[in-house]
Amino acid sequence: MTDLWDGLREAVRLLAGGDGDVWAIILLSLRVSLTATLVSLCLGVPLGATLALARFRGRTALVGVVHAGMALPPVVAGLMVSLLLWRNGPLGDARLLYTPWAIVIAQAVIALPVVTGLTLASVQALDPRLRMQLLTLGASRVQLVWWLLREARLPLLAAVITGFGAVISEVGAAMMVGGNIRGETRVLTTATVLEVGRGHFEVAIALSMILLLVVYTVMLLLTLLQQRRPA
Amino acid sequence: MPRHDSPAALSLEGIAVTVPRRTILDIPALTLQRGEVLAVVGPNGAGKSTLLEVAALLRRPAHGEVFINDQRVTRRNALALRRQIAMVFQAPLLLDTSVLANAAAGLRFRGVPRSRAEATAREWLIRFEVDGLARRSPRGLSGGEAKRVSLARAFAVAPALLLLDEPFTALDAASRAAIIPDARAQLEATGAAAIVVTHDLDEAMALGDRLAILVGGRILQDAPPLEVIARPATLAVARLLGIHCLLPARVTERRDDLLHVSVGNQSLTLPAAGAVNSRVNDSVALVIHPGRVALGRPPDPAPPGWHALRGTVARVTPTAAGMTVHVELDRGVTITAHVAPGCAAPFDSGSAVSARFPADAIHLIGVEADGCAGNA
Repeated sequence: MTDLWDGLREAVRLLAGGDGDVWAIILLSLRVSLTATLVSLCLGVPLGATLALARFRGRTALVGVVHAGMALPPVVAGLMVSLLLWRNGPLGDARLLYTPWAIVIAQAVIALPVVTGLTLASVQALDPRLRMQLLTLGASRVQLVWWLLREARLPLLAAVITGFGAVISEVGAAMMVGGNIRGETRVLTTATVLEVGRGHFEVAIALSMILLLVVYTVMLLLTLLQQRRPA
Repeated sequence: MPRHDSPAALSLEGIAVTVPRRTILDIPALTLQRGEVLAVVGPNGAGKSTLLEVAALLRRPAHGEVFINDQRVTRRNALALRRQIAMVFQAPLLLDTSVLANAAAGLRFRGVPRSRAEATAREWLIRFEVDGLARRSPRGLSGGEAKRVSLARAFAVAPALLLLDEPFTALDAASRAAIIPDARAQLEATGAAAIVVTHDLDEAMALGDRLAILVGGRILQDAPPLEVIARPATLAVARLLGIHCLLPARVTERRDDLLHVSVGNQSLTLPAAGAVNSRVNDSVALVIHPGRVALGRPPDPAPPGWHALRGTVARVTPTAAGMTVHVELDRGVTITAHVAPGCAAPFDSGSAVSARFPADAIHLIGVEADGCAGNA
């Protein structure tokens, strides 16, 4: 209990005292995880909608891959991205390993199946007659997909929430591809692991609490967006 | 009323829709003129919804061509031609946006600027008396209100062809009674052609200029509603229309212009004109609408020119419109009479009566090989 109180006091001190290192870590965490979530949305929503609406050979197998991807361990995603970005790897020339972009890529790989799978489920959960109704109202293919996604926006926001939740809280991939370099690729989760290793439990607890506070704030904003009701 | 001077709103030619090993829709030819309303009645699984899906260009038939306003539908022009059609489903299927935006959705899809689309949408909300709900979300609407909004949304795009799939089924009786005349009036005002699929015969009669009977993917009869009711083409049509008074009979003699038929051990003499194909010994069924059957006590004579069959009252069922009296003739054959409330002396079960009907109330149907004339 004492440790927890010490941690809480330390968290308040770090935040209120304007500790430059801590604020840099918080901002980097947010920037990296929000970018990764955005990338996964840009790719995953169209992909999920296509899988929900189109019928083609191999579709079920592909949906299976997406669902398996939803259980992808972050460490495995980190390893795959490491191998790609390794100096001798296929994307080695881009020199992205141990930069925030490497973490963005790894986290986007983690969030992509989550967003795709949940988009697929939310579009499939719509009344199938809604698609026919939109077509008979004169919707083009693009208008059809846009309005179906609009109708599914509540579960789609759940996809955003789940995707962001998966990446802001993961540590394995960020550690592996980012390297936890102070001032460059250190994020809240990797910093927490480091402080635990050093035996600085009150700092680790403080960082964890800050992480929880950050997550709560972002999720509260998304929830407000989701629960907004038209008159 | 149909207008023959302009292109047909819809033409189907040689349409076949198949699922593995089965044809679920087979329509050699069907044409709908501008301003014409075709009511389609059929049992579940008859292909009614498939017919609408083909007409709405939502489903490509295995064979055949669809023409909208005399233009043949191709992959290329399907979207442009679909934009001359509107469809209303059994569920209102309103979008999760305001009522006004719903009513304007079709116009917005066609690229009409928002202000103009919403002005037109509002006019249609006014015509369907739901303009007061324009700013509301569809979530809180009653079934009748939501249906009115979905009708306004369909009419707002000024469709050449309006397709209605069981549009009023989910509504309570009062809402239906209010909305059906409104829908009919707007159809007449706009001159749109329409297909109304329904299993409710009253709805079909109220809306349709033509009544088509669809069974097993085929149209068995397509004629003005009153003619279909009075003269069903086949036993299947008669049964579907709920005409319970189908008397099995046999042709006993055909001479000059008269046809003698036996019903049990009683006989009737009919004009042969209505039964050109019937020969002696053929099994036939007599359709006599229960509303045209009057009941009397046996010794009293039937009015001149009327036919009479003797029997005993088997069952009396009170209905909203009066009473339905089932009279058993000989050999377990039953004729049904609708008796208006208060206009006849009570007929008790077991009492002897004579069922009387004018000669023109009888319609004769040949019995197909698979059909057996009997009481439905």
